[in-house]
Amino acid sequence: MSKRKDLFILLLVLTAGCAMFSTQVHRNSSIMDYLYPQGGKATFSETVRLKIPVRVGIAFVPEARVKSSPNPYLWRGSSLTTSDVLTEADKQKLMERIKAEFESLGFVEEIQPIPSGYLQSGGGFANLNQLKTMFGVDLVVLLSFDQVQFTDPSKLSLSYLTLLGASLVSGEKNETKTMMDAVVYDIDSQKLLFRAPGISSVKGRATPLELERELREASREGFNHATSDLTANLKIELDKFKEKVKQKPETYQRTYSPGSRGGGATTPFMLAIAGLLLVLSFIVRRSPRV
Amino acid sequence: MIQENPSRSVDFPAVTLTLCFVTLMASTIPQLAALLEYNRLVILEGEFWRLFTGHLTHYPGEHLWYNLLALAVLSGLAERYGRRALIEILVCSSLAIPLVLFSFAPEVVVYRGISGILSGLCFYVALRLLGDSMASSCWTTRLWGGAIATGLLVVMAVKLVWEAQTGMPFHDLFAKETFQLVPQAHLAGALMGVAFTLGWLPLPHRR
Repeated sequence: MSKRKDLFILLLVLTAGCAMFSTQVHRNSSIMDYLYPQGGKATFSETVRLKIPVRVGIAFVPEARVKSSPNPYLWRGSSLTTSDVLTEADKQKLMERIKAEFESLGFVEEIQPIPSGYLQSGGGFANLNQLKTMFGVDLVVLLSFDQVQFTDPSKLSLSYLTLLGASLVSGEKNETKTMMDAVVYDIDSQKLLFRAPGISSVKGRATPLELERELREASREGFNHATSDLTANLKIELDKFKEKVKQKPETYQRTYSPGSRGGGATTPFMLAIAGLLLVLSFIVRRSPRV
Repeated sequence: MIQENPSRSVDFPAVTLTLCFVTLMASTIPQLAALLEYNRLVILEGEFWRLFTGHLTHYPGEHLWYNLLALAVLSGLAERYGRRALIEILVCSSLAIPLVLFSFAPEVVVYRGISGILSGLCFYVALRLLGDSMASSCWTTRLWGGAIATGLLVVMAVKLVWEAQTGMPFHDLFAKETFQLVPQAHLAGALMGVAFTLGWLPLPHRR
């Protein structure tokens, strides 16, 4: 009897414990860690040569490891890695949305989403130069993010003392705060041309049994909303950049590739036709009309 | 086809000479050329005059001189059929060509050259000469004039199709040049020339 009582008390403590602790999961990727893994001073050329039409690559910088607060309970969602909530397919979809903004620029020839596998952790500009050669891009849009998910128990969590409560009562409050950042670099000059942020906050509640799914969906929703905010800001920043290029021609030198320079040319063949028309005109004019 | 009174034809090609002079200036003064050339990016930023002045500018060298020579001949011939008709065809072509470039050749950022307009003038003059040949009372003029004019029209049509298909000039003189031939410009100019000559354009005085 005493053994069964001890077991019941242990179960009670464990169940109550899961209802008492708050957890926090932090996923992020950092532009600085990617471009300057050794730290140090950023060096860049003041003059940017924009080869018109410009070819742009878009890529997510490699993620750091997920940091989560100590939590022994898997259903709190802390087991979700970044690739669980932001798969390569999700990244491609987000990059396609950002790509649409760049397509509105008159001088962009091609925008290529670059799969994450091509970016090495801490690769820096050496890696960007490899991407330039491999994908033929001149500018690169580097996307980074910072997402924190908080899960807190509410008073309703006390109902988890019963099995029914744990499966039916949404007592787990959660909040997902996401920030995305797009920075545009000219690879040759290593100069940051402009940046645009996007933020979002998603709140929800879930039962312990549904918490992991809820957090995964909230995470994706957070990325989606942050991307919407980012694209809106990107549009503003792109307009500002266009204006800057116009106002500072000495800093942003536009050079045209041969393919972008067109001409209507008269060949000797056309001159021969013109000559024949001239001769014909003399003949016809000297001829009497009906 | 337009029928004008031959007595109204002009002897002094004032429009042609003015056009040749302006083209020469716009092409040889680099600052002026940079200000007038068709530049898609700058047009999008509000410099709309470039849509129409781009024809007057040329790249240095053969591009300018060949176009200028063809302009003097074709525009001179067209002006003999009436100054008003020449001005109308110049205006119509210079409006249509950049619109076609803007819509169908977004890869072309910078464009220079009057050859699109020259294509239109070429068709205009050939069609008018064909009409004149057919109106001649001399059967040899009707036969040979008609045959030559028709032959030239066919050759010019073949040239346009060739350019549109290959993207290369009919005679590869400009292979060493640093610009691409834009067949859309020639095609648009030629269509305007044909449409104008056959009276398909809804110009005010023709209604």
